[in-house]
Amino acid sequence: MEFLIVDDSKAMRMIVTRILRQAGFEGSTFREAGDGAEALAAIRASCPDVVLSDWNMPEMDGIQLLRALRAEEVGVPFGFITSESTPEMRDTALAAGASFLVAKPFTAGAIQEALAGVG
Amino acid sequence: MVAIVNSEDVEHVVAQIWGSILGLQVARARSVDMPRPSVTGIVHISGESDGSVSLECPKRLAERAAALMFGTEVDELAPGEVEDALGELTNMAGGGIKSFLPGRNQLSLPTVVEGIGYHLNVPGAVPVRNVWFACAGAPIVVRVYERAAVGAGA
Repeated sequence: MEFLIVDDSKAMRMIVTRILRQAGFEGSTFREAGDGAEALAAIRASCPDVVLSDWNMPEMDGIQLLRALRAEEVGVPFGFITSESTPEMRDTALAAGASFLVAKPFTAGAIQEALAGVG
Repeated sequence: MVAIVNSEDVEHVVAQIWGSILGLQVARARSVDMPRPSVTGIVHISGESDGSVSLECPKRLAERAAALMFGTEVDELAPGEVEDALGELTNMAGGGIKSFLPGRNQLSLPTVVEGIGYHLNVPGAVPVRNVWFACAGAPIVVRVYERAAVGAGA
């Protein structure tokens, strides 16, 4: 499985990768992008199996990225890993086409559960 | 904002973040003179609530946190990585504290400052919660700032 991890924090991208390995995805490929615009270009070039994105980022935030993908009819499974974890944000994410929203800080168990529902 | 976010809420948020991300225990502590140089991250909350959350700790603790996040040694950290790590820890603290607030609110990107003789001023806002912790022999202070509503006190 190929993941695209989108977060403006390099530290958080490393932590997400580490936790994904702990969650049983050690054989997967992990690509990274530092913001939504970079991620959009990367996805257009080569679509991953799953996008895991932060919400608040410079240039293009996570919800803008998701809406751009869906507008281009790119149906890649998309999940948020974010500090923006209120019910309202979760509803916004799901309405835009996200499969899940996992709140930071998160555990390997939480990401396993979230990804279990992704086709 | 003051009546909603109490010190125990802040403690719960910070302990969860530092414990799960870094594997470091934090415990409530008395206020102390912050060792310098220190590093401070701040995020702003806007929407139905209006304020900020800052996190300050000595640079040596910020470096240790960064090393843990990057899976490296302190002396192998690249330029910007301490600020990245502290900014993300502040982001998570701000998000956790924001979850206690009613209504729709947004979190800003973090700003991080490092130095010896700086003073952080958030225009129009005052710190209404100052929660001190001890972690690995070093202090951490998390401050919740509240900005007065427009017209308040007029």
